[in-house]
Amino acid sequence: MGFDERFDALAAIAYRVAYRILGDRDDAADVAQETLARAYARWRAIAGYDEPWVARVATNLAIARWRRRRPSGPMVEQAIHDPDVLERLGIVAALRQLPRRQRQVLVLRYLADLPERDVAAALGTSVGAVKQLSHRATARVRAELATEGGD
Amino acid sequence: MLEHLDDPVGWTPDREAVVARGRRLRRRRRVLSAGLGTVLSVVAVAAAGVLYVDRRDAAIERVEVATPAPPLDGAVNVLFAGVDQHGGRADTIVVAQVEPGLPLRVLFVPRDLWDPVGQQRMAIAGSSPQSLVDAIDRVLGIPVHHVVTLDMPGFVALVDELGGLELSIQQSMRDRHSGLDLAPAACAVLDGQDALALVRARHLEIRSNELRWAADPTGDLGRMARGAIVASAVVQELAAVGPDPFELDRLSRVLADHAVLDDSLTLDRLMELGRTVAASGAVATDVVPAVPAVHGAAVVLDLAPDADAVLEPFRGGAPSPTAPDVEQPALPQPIATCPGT
Repeated sequence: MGFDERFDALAAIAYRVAYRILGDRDDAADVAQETLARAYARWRAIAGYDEPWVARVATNLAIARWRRRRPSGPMVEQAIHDPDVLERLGIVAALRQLPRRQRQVLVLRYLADLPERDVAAALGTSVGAVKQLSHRATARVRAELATEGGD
Repeated sequence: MLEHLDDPVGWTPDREAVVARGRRLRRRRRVLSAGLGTVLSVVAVAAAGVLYVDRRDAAIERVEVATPAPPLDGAVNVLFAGVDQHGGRADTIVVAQVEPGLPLRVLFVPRDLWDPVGQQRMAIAGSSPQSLVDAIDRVLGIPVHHVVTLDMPGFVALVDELGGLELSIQQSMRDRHSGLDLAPAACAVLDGQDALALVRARHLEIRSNELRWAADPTGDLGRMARGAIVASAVVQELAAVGPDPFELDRLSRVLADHAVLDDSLTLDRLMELGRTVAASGAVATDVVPAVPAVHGAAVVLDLAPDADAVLEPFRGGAPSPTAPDVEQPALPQPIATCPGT
């Protein structure tokens, strides 16, 4: 399938992933645009598994941007009062610490919203295994949230 | 599970921008991968350093720009435009005059300066290199010989590639809109994101001695004054780069990914200009004198009546003899280049 036909679907995934991590329109739009441009540049190579690829690249770019922010001062204050910001901190912390397979499931299933069957195909495993990995990944995110939330 | 974190408003991607950037990445990848084997062996051979530069040069996006023919007597005017992501607007417009043996002269052009013929602000004229060159010629009478546009991620990448900018921060500064958050330091190293947040700050707040945050009153002139200080710091870092081929390679990669050059500005020429600037070691900055005006519904800027004195050197004339150093009253800013550099 051509890039043009896939464009809208891939754009939606890239933006959804980036926005769920960054929580900011402009940042998420930048990440999504860059992700799509890279997909265009490599289209022949990734055309068979474009959705997982886009989800992975958008996640990496979003996390890189998040790290550069170095939350300090006013942003940390805001985090304590805003549950969404807290949750994003937890997600980013989890993404950086989860074992590879759990991270892949977190990205594909919960950030990109890909159906279980597609996630299983992307990881080369069964739907049952995906369910199990999902449980562990979400438990980890909740644990990270508890730590980030502090006392 | 995470739907509550979604953007309720939704987003429309810019398909053209994606394809344009994707083509640029694809071109760069082709050039690099085609020559990689040769390049690795070639780097070891000094004479073939030219071939290496040629491959990098081919990866840079270029436009044909018609520039006023007569070169100034020994001086070259290079127009730098900092453009927003989608190239619709130039937020920073600078003319740099390079002349052997003299300090680099840098002129900041306010983005709200009005162009009566084009009926638009300079920022909008900056949507294409040609229209900006024409507008600067019409409004300021300044001939431009080369053009470089750089997008915002390019500025970030450039500063990061240079190892950051050294600046002295005298008071805490923040700007919620641009993401700026700086604490005082005798000599801080700003990374690309910090530097971009600083030059983009239009809602700057400064922490006074009484430890209260107050809005910076200096407006767009203040932003340009800060830009001038940042420009000096960037030039200082560039001048320190030297002939290291790996460093130059990484810098040319930043250009390939983020800049557009006019087709007569080869990498060789750019490096030659750079060497001239590095040799002189000094930078003199000016801002186009302008006064608030209204055109139609727009609040913009017009050239001030005494602007000629500042503009003459860039037009090829000597500075006005009656006022050898016509400077705008300095707008105090809480940043400066580091002491001892």
